[in-house]
Amino acid sequence: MADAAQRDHADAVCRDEGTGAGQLALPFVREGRLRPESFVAAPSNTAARAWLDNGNWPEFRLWLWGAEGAGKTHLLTIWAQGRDAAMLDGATLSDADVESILRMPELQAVAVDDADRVADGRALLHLVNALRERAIPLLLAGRLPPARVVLDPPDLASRLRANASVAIGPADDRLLEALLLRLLAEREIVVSRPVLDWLHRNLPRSPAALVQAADRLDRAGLAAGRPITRALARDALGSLIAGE
Amino acid sequence: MADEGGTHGAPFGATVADASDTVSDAVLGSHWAAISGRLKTEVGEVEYRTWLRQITLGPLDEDELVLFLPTRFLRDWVRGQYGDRLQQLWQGETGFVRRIELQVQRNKAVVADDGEVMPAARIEAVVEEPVRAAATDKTSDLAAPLDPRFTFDSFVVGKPNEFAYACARRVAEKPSSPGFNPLFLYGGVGLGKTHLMHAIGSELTRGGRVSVAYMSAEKFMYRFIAAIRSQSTMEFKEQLRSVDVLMIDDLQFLIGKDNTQEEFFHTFNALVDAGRQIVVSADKSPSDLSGLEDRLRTRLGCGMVADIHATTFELRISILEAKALASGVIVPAKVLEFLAHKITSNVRELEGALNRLIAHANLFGRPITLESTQEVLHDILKAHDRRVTIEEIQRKVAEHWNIRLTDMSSARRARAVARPRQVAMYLAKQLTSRSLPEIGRKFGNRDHTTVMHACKSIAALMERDSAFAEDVELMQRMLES
Repeated sequence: MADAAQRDHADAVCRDEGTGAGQLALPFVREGRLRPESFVAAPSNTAARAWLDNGNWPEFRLWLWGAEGAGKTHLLTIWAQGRDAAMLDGATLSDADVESILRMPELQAVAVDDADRVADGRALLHLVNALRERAIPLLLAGRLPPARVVLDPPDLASRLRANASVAIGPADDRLLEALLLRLLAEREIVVSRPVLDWLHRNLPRSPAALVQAADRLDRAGLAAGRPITRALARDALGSLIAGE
Repeated sequence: MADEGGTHGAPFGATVADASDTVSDAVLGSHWAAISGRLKTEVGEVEYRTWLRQITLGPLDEDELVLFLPTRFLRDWVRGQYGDRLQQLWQGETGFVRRIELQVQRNKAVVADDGEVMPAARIEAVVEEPVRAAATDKTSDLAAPLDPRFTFDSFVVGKPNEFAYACARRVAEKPSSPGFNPLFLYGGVGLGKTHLMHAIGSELTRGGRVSVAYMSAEKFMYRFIAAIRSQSTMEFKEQLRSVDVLMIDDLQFLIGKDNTQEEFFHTFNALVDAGRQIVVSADKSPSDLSGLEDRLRTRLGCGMVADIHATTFELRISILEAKALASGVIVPAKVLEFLAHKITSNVRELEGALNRLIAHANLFGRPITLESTQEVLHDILKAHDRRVTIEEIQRKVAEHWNIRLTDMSSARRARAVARPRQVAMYLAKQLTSRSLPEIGRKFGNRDHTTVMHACKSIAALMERDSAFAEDVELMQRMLES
């Protein structure tokens, strides 16, 4: 029920993007991949999930960090949907975005993805200050923790370093296996068990590499017009596969 | 959320009854039909269907008409994008609607079916309070609410900040005293300027006689620009000039904003001339704030200028002790000393670190120890997580167990050689994202099953032999740092 509503909601937003109307930077669900049920829970993200489930963040802020592909955007999206949060993209965040967000009456929560790539630090600082003042929770996500990101102005750096940050740790075997399966399923790529095992064994053990691999396999499968065999996979993956 | 089910504020039944004396639902409905027809042509079919079709008419309360939307998101969107236009159309259409109010009213069936309407409910208790407090303040449109945590009592005084503290106290006791107006507080980021300003504000408003407006310079600027846009600068000026105490935080943000500076300068003069108190903070002294107009700098420097210096170890310890005590969580003295040694940048980050430890301890129900501190704060304590290479692992492990580096890839199977080699394979799996076949290749072209076996054996041995486990963990920490 809730899921269907969420999809409708996502569809409605996508339709709007198609018309080019609407100036608020509120790209809610861009793709159906970021649903709660497709998130792979594992020990490496236990702490992150616990922090997100808990509302008592010091300074009402939390910075979520982890390597590319670790699932930050996914977790952030789940959180944002659950909290009715406005979602913003750190890299393109502008004063105008911040102003329109802050004008929203009864703003519940705000999520900023790619906060480590923020271009306009003053705009983010304005957002951070205004939300703190109103005790509105702010979730930020980035590849590195605030202490290792160059943030300007210094006030912004100091504020973000003072809040809690939680990492998504390196993925373990089970998570990688589940992730690979999910990535292939999302792309409707069918592989035999032996090929799957071979991929799992030979691909680098990082989520980002698996995403890259799934994309390459997708393209290769489409081009070849036949199921993915080990030989086809080896060709498609090339340098991604160890030592080749 | 209180307004979710339409139970928000004044009971709707009463207002509907009042309104129906003058305007019937049918009349409202026909106006709405005309307005939505116009809207449809203005915004286009798709846009209308996506956003506006779901609006339903609510009660009319005097001249304010409530319009309902089914979700908060839709409501906010419609309010942001079409709120003004809707109001204009209603004003043009009828004489009795002057204002519209958009509210959330969920479809009843949806509320009944989906049990968890408000996943955010848990944080709401915390969220509501300050927002409400702000709404009751008459200068709330203008100023920021005062943070109740920032009082004189919670300010930890030490050598670096005692002068600024004394000046702030003086202003709070006797505002607008000669020599203390304006009070200009300056110092680096996160040293307590904002804390002192809030403390002055709280102290002064306690009796309820003095009106205080606190805001960041940034907010001053945004408000000023917004006032220009909405052609309400007069109102903005009047509001500002009606306060007894004006406090502007982080004045350096006005650098390069000439128009805002100009406005601030005039407000400043008007207030000081009227015998009102001004408190300003910045990251530098007035004379060092280049980029600020000279006449403004001169005026800023003519009251009391007090600086806050970087913290000392003693002050950091006092601050941590006070915060730990206030939190009610037991924090070992060793941890406090460790933090005071390691986090020297500023008070905000120091307190932030302690807050993180406490929040973590509460969240996971674990006591705070030196080890947990290092783990929880590793992102601040370490400049970066090292990317370790397999070669590095092999070298370190070989050194530690005193074998030759070449034995990492040799075929020798003596235990004195094989065991360290297995440890290196295990660490390679733990610390790098290389696939097992690749790890095998770096160890003399061994098969990935050999690597798998090594990882299993080492993990099992670590379970059984705690001394060995410590050895391997130490190795891992050395490689990571």
